[in-house]
Amino acid sequence: MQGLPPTIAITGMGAVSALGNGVAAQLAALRAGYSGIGALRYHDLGFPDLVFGEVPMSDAELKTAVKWADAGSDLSRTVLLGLLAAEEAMASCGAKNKTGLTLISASTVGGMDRTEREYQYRDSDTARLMRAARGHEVSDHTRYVARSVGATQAGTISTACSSSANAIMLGARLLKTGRANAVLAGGADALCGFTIAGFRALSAMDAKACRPFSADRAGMNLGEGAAYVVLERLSDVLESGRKPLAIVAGYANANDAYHQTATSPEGIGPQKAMEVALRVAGITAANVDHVNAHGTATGNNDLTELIAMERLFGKVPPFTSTKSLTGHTLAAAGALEAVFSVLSIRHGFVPPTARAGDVVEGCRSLPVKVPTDMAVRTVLSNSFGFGGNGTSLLFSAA
Amino acid sequence: MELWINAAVCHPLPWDLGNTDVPGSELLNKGAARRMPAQMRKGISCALQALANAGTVKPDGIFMGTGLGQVDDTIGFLNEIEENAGGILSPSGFMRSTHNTVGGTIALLLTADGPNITYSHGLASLHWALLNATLHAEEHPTHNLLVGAADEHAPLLDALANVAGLTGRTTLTSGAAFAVVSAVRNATSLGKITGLWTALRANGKQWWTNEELSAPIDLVLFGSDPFTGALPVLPPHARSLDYRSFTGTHGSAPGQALCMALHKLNTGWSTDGMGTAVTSVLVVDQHGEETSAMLIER
Repeated sequence: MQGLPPTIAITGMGAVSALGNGVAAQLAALRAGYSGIGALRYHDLGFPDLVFGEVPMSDAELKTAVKWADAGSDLSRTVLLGLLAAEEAMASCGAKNKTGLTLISASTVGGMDRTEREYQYRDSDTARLMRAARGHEVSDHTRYVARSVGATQAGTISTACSSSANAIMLGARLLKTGRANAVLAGGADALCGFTIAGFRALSAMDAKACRPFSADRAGMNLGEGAAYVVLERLSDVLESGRKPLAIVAGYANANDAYHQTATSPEGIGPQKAMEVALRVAGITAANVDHVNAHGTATGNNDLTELIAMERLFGKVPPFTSTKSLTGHTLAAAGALEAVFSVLSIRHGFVPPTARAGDVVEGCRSLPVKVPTDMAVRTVLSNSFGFGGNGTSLLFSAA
Repeated sequence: MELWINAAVCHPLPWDLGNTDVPGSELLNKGAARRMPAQMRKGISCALQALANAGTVKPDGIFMGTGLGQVDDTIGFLNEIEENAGGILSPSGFMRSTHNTVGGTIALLLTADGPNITYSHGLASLHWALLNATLHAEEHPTHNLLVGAADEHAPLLDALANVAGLTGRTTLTSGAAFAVVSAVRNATSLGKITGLWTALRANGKQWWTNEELSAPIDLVLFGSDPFTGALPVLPPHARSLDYRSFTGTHGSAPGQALCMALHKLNTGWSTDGMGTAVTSVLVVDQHGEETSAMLIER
């Protein structure tokens, strides 16, 4: 008779976002309901009419904060953010060394922040562009992070805004099937003019601080950041005398197959992702204590996610969009919100959706508006992206 | 692991480079085709042909690899930003610049609502897609899955390769390869993948265990590091062929090598002078510190 599949534990976490550098900074900001949305201070990208979730550190400060001695001097901001969060995650996991570490990372734009700066020299000084282009690939940050943490195997996922949620899902499955001994999973994305111009062309950006799940929502604020979690089999963690932070109980990826950038009016794909994640976890919707929603504050996303949640849950459990605090960090969002979900479980609170107003037309559910202390044993975390890509992760108390 | 390959289609065909016909182009809805850039259209046509060959109407999951994603659209949107600074931009190029555009578009065309994951990890992108397909197939043995890889070429890449000193050593190209796979063999099965490897810091070292490659390998198709020309370590005593002398270099070239391997296994194709009695082919790529490989057997 085949035994039960191994339980997958989270043993370490690292994060950097508009809320600050480090998991402790994230926790303090979430509990205080602090929003990191504001005008750009550390990027020279223009866009004075927009606000962002910018990591409050210059590139030079990021380089100083990175501990890895071989980090080099000519790295994209995506790499620096990734190194910082990955180092914290590995340092916090409690294991003295990780043999056979697998890294699964995610990014949507990789080194675009450097490429776009040098693109104007494509004809006059192609060598200058080439130096930036060597770090352009979305997998470039993965290779640096892999070197810094000593991974022996690494892969990169790029499924738009669900990317790092998919990295966590893959990591859990590699562990469950015995294909990895320990996994560092997450993602990194830096702000760059390319994505800002792109989302503005899609009319998806609010010039003011965003208002997810509100009747007057008018689009997202882009953000930047990185987050990683260390995943291990629970049996290995307990055997080594350590305590897990939380459990990755369920996961699912489904495709909405409706439109390249919009979700179906009924939220079919998002609902399927949530349902399958619950099924994998072996629980029902009634057992979910809190939902960390995708909640970008665009008209289509929030409406369809709410429709899907109301159909699945009936009475939706306390839910929030932490993108109102961090901005939308694209490929990093799934892992960043995984860290937030674990913090909710471990510290017994639900972070707020900043600036949330009246209920979305046609719906009946309002997000949590202020930091709220409550027992949280299970969190469903949603990440939906371009190409109809939808991923839901289910975290539970250890 | 055993992942059966029930159909495989690529473009260009490494063993028939003069053949410019894009497989499956007649299967692509003309309206949809008109809205797609030419290189993306080729990839999606290959996917549709692979599905048709396998008799699969709608795949239960789509797992993709791409080295650089939609290069044409990325460059096009950078140009648009430059030309219309502060002006109104069309979002089309930006939307399509996303790396999972091909996988997402195939899902849209087929209303395929299963898992849809795109890997972008240099020359190991397809390997990760195949590994994800394997995980899925183990959980759902009756599912038919679409696995593929597609990469584009742009003149700017040649200019960059030139200043990087790659001219004459590495020819940058484009290509696409798609396969329909499942956990079980069926009437159309062409072969099976029995091993997948991605190993970091494997330069100059053995990246497999003796147990993993205990049986002799009939043929090794290898590709060197695009920047340094460094060769991967190959199993001893195996006949080997530099497959990129046929395909050129792009992130999805291992997909074309997979099709070469299946062609060799099933037809005895021998323009490489390697004879016909082939039952196992190992495809090995070197990319910086990383070695990636897949073992294909009859």
